[in-house]
Amino acid sequence: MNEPIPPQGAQTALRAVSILESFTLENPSLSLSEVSEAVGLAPSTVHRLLRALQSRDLVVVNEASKKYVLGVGVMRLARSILNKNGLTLLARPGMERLRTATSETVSLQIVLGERRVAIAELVSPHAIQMSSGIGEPYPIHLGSAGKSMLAFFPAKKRFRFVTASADPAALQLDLEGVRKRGYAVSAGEVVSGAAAIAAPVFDAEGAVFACINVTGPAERFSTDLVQETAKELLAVTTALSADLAAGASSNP
Amino acid sequence: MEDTSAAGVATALRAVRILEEIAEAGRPLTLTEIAAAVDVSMPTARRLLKALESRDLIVADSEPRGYVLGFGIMQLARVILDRDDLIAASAPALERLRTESGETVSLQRLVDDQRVPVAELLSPHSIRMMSGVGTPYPLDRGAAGKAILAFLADYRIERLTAVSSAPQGLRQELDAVRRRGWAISAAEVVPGARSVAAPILDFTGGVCASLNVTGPVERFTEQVAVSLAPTVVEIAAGITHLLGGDSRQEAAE
Repeated sequence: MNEPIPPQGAQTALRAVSILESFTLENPSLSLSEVSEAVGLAPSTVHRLLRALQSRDLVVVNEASKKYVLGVGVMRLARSILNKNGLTLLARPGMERLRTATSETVSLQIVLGERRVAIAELVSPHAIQMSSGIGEPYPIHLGSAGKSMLAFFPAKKRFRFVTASADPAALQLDLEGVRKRGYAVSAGEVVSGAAAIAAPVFDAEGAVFACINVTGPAERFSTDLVQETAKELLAVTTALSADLAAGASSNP
Repeated sequence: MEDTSAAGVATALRAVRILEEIAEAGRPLTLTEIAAAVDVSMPTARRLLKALESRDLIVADSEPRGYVLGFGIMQLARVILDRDDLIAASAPALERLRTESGETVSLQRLVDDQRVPVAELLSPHSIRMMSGVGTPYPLDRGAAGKAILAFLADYRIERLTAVSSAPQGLRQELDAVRRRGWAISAAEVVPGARSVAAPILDFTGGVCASLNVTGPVERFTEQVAVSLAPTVVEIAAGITHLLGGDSRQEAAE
């Protein structure tokens, strides 16, 4: 066993996390003084922590500009989420087919803890398009993507989400429909004016862990289009689940 | 009090190791497993897990029981995903490559099924090659194209090589490029030009561009080009690193 860690040790870990969080979509590249200003710590302290983070590739410094950016270490961690079971790579050809067939935005979403998150997205070529944004967490009980997965959760886990929702009886009924059809349809549940259709993806053990979602402005989603898309979508998700099962059995 | 003593930094690194262990395991890890993996006592492990959980970097999963990485990781990754810094990350590297080669160097980006030079530094020689920023070129001709094509997903290689005049030969050549890590070509796009190129990978682990050196065949002989290849590969790997990509993956796949 290593040397005991003082209680304030966790404090330093949190400071290191704060440093990582100081890199944002607006300011993805920062100098030492910018980081120390963002986290409110002395530059010498920040420098030590940046060096530690650098040793794990979590930040990288551009020697020419002397600016820090988040590095490959972050992506290595994220890739373990993004590419669970080789999912993203396996899903890509089917997602491309769906986008070609529908001209709407197609995303691959997974369950992460109590929420769902898009891990890959092919955006519609239309000028007016939907984009859920990779990495943005959404509730599981809202939207077709969430419901397509929730409907196939084990009863106990499903019950927990249903009872916590605003209208358990309605959600319960909705989920029964999803289980019967094999896919979920929604309109305006997460983003007003948006409609979506989603179907679940199962792992080798038959447990739902992802879904493919097709989304666009509600006015383009006619009943005919939904029917048409549902067929194609189920073909893609069924094949993907089969691929995942085959992949798991071919390399244990 | 600011605890950034060596011990404090070591603790921060242990928290990082917890994240790495969970990522590597690819399944939920229990408190006991985590404490053993990073070699700390259970109370310490619990404290660190709590800290990481408070920032959404991990979440406790119920079925099966254990900790998995959380969307805090995805939010950090988004910053990289959103960053379009290929050109900025490449500028010093291009300069260095031009100095070392004395030939024209360019950064060629994968755009749909083509490649487009997005940055170019010309050779100081009076006889020199120029690709021209913004002009699209095919992927199946020229070292800059093949260095990209060889590292695309198999189904895309299938599709893109099927339309070439000699698919069989091209696929064999791409296999060789993938093994070596670089591509070479002579007079495939521009008569009298020879090129050597290496792939640049982005955060997804996929190829997004290539780094290319091109010169007249008389001066930029096969021998010169081949001996320059390791430098091109190394400089391209440096750009990959700045983009959040993993050049180790390239060799692994």
